[in-house]
Amino acid sequence: MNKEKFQVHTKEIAINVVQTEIDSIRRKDILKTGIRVYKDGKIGVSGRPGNYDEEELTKEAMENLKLNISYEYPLTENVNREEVRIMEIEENEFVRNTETLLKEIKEKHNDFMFSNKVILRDSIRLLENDLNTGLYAENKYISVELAFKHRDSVNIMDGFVGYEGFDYSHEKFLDMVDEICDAYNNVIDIEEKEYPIIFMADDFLVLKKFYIDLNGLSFGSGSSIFSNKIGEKIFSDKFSLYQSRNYDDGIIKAFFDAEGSMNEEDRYKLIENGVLKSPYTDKKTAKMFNLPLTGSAGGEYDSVPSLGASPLVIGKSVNTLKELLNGETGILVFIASGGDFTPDGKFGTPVQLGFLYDGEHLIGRAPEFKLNSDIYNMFGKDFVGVGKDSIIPLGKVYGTIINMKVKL
Amino acid sequence: MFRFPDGVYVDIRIEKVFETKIQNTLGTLEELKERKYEGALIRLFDGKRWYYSSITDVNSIQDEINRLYNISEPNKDIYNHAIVKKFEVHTESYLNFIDNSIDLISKEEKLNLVNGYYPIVSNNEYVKLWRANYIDQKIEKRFISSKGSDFTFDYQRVGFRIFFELVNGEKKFSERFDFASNYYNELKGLEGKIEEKLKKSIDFLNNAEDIEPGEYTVVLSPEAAGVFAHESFGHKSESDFMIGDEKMKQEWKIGKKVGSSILSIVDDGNKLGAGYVPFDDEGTKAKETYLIKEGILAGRLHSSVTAASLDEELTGNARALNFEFEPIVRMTTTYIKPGSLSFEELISDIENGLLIETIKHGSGMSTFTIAPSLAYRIKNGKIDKPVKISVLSGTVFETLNEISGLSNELTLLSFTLGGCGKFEQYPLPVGFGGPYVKINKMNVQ
Repeated sequence: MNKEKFQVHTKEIAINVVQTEIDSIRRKDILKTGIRVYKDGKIGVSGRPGNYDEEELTKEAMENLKLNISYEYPLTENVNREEVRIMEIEENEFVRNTETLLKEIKEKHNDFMFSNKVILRDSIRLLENDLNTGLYAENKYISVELAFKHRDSVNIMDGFVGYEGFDYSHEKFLDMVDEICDAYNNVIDIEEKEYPIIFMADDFLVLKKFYIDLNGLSFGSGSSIFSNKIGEKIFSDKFSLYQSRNYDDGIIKAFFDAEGSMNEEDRYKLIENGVLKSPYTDKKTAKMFNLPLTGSAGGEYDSVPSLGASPLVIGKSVNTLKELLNGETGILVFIASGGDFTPDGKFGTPVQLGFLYDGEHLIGRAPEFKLNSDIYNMFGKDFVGVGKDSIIPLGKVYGTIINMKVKL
Repeated sequence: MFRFPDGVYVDIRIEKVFETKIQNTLGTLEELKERKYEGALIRLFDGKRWYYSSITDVNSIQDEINRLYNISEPNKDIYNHAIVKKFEVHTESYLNFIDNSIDLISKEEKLNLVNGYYPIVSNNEYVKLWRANYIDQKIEKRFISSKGSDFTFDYQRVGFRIFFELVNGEKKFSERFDFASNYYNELKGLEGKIEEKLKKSIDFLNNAEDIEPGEYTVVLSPEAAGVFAHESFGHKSESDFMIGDEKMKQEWKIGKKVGSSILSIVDDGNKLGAGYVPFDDEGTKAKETYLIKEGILAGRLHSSVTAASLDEELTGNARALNFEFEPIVRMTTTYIKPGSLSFEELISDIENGLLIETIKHGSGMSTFTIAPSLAYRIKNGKIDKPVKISVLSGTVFETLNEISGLSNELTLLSFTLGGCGKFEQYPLPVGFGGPYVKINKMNVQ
């Protein structure tokens, strides 16, 4: 019998912002512990939030072996790695700094109201087993998620400013707020024609079809539009897609999945230069369909690990966004809510907030518009690339340029 | 008992949770889990700011109250504060799920029930991938406040969902059967409904045609109408977005005409289903709230903060995802009131329109959207071939004014998985529904 412990520990100070002022402060310290035991190709799991008695949890997990849940895959063994990334800041200082930030925003941009959360989050994940595996990841970072609304607007919200990372800078964040608010107030007409459309490189909306159809289970069982296409060139030479847990891609995640699988440089290439390499998989899916193991197991702290979706990002080019735009003005998509793909890959979405963008600066706000295309054109002939530089000077937010026709 | 310090308002929400999860993929049992746990959220208000603490050790509640008190600025007159004056006080027990509690049923019995449904999909030639989920959750909440509340209430939900991916050559389509209720016994005997859903999905797989983007007359099913009501108007009725916003107060004046005169939208936490919450997380009893009555703006959803700010009454809509979060203004069960037409009468005058039967998701910004799954063309007053649509969209007020017909039956629905999202608090179980709703003009992509 083998035993494994999986822990998720979240500590947070969350400041709730209403009308660009601090409304409330929430403190959270939630530890969740899962114990897994493995015996004769079966797995038993137990778990508890908060204080726990490991012996008791182990007994419960052993009792749950009787449920006959199959797990016939090698456990991660002889791997020890610890990665700690800490944004050094005291809680009181964090609250004071947020107060100052909001005061300055309010003074400079009184025509806007900001709301939602500023969070100092410490996210710890641990996996250890009796096969000499000890994995520990701790990420303590600042997350700013502020929605804004213009005082004259009748919308619930008009846009957002956000940041997530370890290198928060008060001045750079204020600069970003200035640029976004100024651009928002400068409405510029656009035409019904093709524009370079710039999405965030990890935008779920445009990557949604990949999340669904590169799922190893869908892929292996034949129901994905990519099934049986490993090795085929489906997309542009310029298009590569990674499963990533790498902070260089703007992803803040533990470096291992729920089964303790890891990847070189914390990335796995699913599509390389347009050629399909693999769907994303956990140990079970990889074995079931004879696919590469990409390390994409998920699940709750007390779950049997199963296939989950790790963040997908599009590989960066060697050019800056400005170089990729090649003198053209693009439209940076800030909010495109509610769009989707049809089963065969046709794409449609409204864009509620887009900014005209020259590769370095926001120029003005575009009126609402609609986009239609399909997955093969978006990442084939119409795909321009991802800039190597972050769209904003603070954090790691990369832009994907796709030529698309705008409909007003 | 707890010692409440002077000069501050305090409330405590202790949650005792029981839940079961079963997951089976392609005939392999992947999860069979029962969980029991407790947690608490403590709120303290000094008249200026709220302070919250979320904990799993309910024995440390007093320590947390003291800790929050130490960072607050006590106010002798706190009980005359407009927000604190709003709070209801309850002291009885409101336990409704005792004899029919889902924790009285063994996990083996639950497993046997859902195992019986798998062959419907696993034996079908078009189904290449399927995954079934059973979930149940019972929550018993004790709410204690320094204003005098100390009461316990409970609610539970149970659901079964089976997702399937269909393939016929190059044609692919995925759908799901999803049924949720408050009572375990209602999950029995679902075979016919699952078979019907699978049959419709196979027809869609084999026969669905592309649609030309443009404007169409659209008939929404109760599922799509419910999501439409939730996304297009429900979120805008959550009054936290109005606090301190004079423009919004003018724009959303009660009594303003906002939609077709046949349209009424209601939110009510008393309705059974996933949105059933007899009390909200500030200890307010659930109430029926008309958001729109016969096309006129009639009300909005409140927490104590928003009700005090707008000088309106509490509605029982301050909900938290769980003990890890503070309550914010959320919907419960939101639905469109039915009209007087039969379904046949409703579609009889449509020459070239669309019926949206099931949906994948919806969103509600300035432009709301609905991403349909099963959809059909309506031709000369009859349902015609299935059609593939990426997204329907429209501006809220224009679309509410374009509603021209309502069928005469109300259907309320709940989903097993997923729920409503508002910033960090997702997924919150909600109920939704309505009759069949005809909209003269919607943008189709």
